[in-house]
Amino acid sequence: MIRVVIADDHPIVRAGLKQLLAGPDFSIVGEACDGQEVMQRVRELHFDVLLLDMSMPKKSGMELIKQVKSEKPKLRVLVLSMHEEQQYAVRAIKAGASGYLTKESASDLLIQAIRKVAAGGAFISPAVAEQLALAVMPEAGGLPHKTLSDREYQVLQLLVAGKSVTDIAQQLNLSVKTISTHKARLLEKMGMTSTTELVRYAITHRLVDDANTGA
Amino acid sequence: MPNSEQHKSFIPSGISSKRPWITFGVILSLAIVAAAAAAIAALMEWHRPTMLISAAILSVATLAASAGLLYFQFTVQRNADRTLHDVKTRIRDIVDSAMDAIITIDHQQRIVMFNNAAENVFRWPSHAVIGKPLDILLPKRFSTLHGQHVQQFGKTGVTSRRMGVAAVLTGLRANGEEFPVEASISQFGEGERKLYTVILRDVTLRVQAETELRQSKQELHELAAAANQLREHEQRRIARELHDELAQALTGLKMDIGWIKNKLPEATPPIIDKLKSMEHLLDNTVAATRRISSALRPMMLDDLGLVPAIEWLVQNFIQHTGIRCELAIASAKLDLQDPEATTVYRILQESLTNIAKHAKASSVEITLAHSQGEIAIGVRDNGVGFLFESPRKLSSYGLIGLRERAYILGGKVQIESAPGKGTYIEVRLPLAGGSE
Repeated sequence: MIRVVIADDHPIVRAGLKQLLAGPDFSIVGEACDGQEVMQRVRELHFDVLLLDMSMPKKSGMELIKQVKSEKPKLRVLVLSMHEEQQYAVRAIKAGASGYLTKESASDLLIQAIRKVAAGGAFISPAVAEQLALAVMPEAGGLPHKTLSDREYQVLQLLVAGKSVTDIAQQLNLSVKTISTHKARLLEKMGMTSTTELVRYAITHRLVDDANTGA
Repeated sequence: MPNSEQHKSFIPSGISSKRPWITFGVILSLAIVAAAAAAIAALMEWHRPTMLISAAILSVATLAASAGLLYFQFTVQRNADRTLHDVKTRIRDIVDSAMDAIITIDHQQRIVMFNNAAENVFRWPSHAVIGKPLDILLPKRFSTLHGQHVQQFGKTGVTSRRMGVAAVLTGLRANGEEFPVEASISQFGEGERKLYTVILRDVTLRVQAETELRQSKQELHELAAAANQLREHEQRRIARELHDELAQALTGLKMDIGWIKNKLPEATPPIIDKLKSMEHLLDNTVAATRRISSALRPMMLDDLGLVPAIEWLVQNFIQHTGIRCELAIASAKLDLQDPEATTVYRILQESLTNIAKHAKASSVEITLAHSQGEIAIGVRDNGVGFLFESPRKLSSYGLIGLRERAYILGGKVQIESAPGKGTYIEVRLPLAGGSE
């Protein structure tokens, strides 16, 4: 049996969720309707999964997830949100949630999602997974060049291959301004100030060969 | 004032009035000579009375001729005097009827003429200022400087020029009141006989009108800013209500339908079909609610910040238009606060809307950079562009709204475009907090 706390400021949603989870496999041990109550439940109750709405009064969703995870690292958080935009899902996962589900898919996917999250897995939509693969997973690798976007990495390779910003702009059919903006951002992400540093880094991390074949 | 009488008649006095007397004297002398000659002749030939008679006739004739001539001379002189007087009066009348104040000063900058309009403007009667230095018509703090300017002008030899081109000049009325003046100066004559004529106009009303216009423009800007802020506030509120209340309630409803569906016995397919179509309808309604909400104002802007909101905006743009769009953001520090965040978002949104509507572009590049306390937003498209001359294009391209948004935050908008050459819009906004 999976013990669940439902946190949502809309009574109609809470009622709907309780209906969906009625049955022997789940037990609703508590409810919360704002951020403060969530923290109270987290501190006083013993349960497995927190079903959390992203936009509740008194505390923003991201902060709440972080706080919950910092106090109870083992508690699984499944975010249930009205926001279908990937940006929200990506940030929720980064903040420490184990799954992200939009509310209208709840009636079809909620049970499956809770089971998966409770078992230690992650539950995310394929679109979000793709976004996460790009934005979240490389960061775990720890190397700064892995945090670059595709385009930024491409610009890095061309810079390291000795091309000027103007050359790159021409090659990629973009304006010089755009390329130099990309360059500024990738240097910032790499924590560097010059192309020389970039070249040194590329040699150390064997990015040069890639660059030569790519260029 | 020893010079005052002389200055008063600065119009040249003309023909000498002594000439008729000279003429008369000459003729009179001739008549006396003739009479004397006749008298001598009469004495020598006294017995010949014919001689006496002819001498008398000759002198009378000479006298008559000289009297006639004298009368003629007097008539001519009188006419000339009358004409001269007429001309003087007419000039005086013209000068006095002029709407502008006309003041003439001599080489020592003493007033020699002061017309009616000048009397009205400066509130001095002309007899009170004639012969006085020009200084009495100027505020003390300007008089030295003004005197130098006039002298300098005298040296240039230019006939006339406008005074105080850069700034409005100031005059001083008899009651001590200062007023703005627009003036021109001209000169004629040389050395001691040089005269300067200043033609000036009291522009109090115009300056007042200009100030009022400026104020009213400023108020209009402030009103637009307030209206903008209010609209943004309302849009945020409605967007949130739609998203948080309406869409959530609809979702709750959908869960209820799911619950009913599960509770129903298998053998009721028409009801199950109906419930499925209701679920479908609810999904569409939720989607529509979301669309309306994010069109009003994406909650992401408040929840996640500017950069994610822009990324989402660009994704949406690509999805809906199929136009390639490259977004380059120079720094992670660009997560600005309001009002800058909203302004940057709206500027980009409006630019992209313009491009989708008018530009017929196949590629768009957006750059966001941040340097020295300002943020620079660049939007470049490779579309049809437009001609700058037509101001209507500016409004139809939504560029006025863009300018207004930038203006509110003290920003600047620069637009480069030409037919067939695409359009580049750059907006620079100062960052109030200096979020460096």
